[in-house]
Amino acid sequence: MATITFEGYMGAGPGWADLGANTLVFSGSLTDLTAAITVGQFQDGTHAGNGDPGTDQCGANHMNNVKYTSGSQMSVNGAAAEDITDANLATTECSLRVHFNHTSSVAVSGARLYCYDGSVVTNEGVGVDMYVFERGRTEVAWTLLNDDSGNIGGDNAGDYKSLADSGAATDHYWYLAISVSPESVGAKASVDLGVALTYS
Amino acid sequence: MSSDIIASGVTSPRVGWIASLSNGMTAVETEMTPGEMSSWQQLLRFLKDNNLRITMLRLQHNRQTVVADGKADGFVQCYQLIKSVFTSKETRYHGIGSVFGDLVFLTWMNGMGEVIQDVRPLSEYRVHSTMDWQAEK
Repeated sequence: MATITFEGYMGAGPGWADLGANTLVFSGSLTDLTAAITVGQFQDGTHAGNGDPGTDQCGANHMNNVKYTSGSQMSVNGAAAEDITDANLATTECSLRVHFNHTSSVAVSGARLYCYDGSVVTNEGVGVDMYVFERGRTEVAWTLLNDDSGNIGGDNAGDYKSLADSGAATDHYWYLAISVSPESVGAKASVDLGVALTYS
Repeated sequence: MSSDIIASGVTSPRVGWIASLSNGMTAVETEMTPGEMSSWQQLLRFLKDNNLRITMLRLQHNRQTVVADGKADGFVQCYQLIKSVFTSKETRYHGIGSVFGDLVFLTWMNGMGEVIQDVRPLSEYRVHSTMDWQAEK
């Protein structure tokens, strides 16, 4: 049996916990998932919500927030901007962990992350800019994942983010920082994140 | 390789890959004990350890069967899993492919009976291929 779960570092402990039926919510506050993000600015909070956004399900500790401050810098949970590198961003500071589990030991290739409109995987997410960073790849800059006005996004070559291959194992993890900025005022209901991977 | 993977006869219908080997044996996909290598990864190692190659590979999902091109340089077998964060939509495909040069000609099947064909660079699928494990032709 193969499963993909999306996990946040949150709750009591804190520890990595499956978002389950909750959704990933980006807001304008570290502690309030209903706080709006100013147009053209990036989010100040990342949360697990049970609706759109619903109520906060993070528990005792909120999910980590990694904010885009420039192409090569970030702010972790409101701290001063620093270079976005593996050394500066601990795994337990990442916004999201993608966890692939298989009963058998399998090899994984071709993993990719994309932002889309929630309906057609090749369409970009509507009304947002989104950047992503994968920890563990010795990267030193954010990757643009979605730019609705610039027609960038979706599960298209050149737009999706390729994630690292992973050798034979039962559990495979990808640690990600994700930062979002609205292009216009209003709720952004037509935005989703997809992960695809191949294993044998 | 687990003896469960080598079959003296293959009954139909079944779900999974079936490989004919150059020594006349047949290997089939089986449910493995948790934590063990997948049956495909075990087959790759069996090919290398015994200087064998696959002569025919097919994928069977109940009454549907697809067959890889037997003249291929090598073969690919893999699954694709796709999931969305917000909608939790999940899609699964099971595929086999024939390697010709630097390309893999793939045929994917899903649980709804859909069959999709694709051509991809071998580099993206090498870890799922026989290319680094099989005997020379």
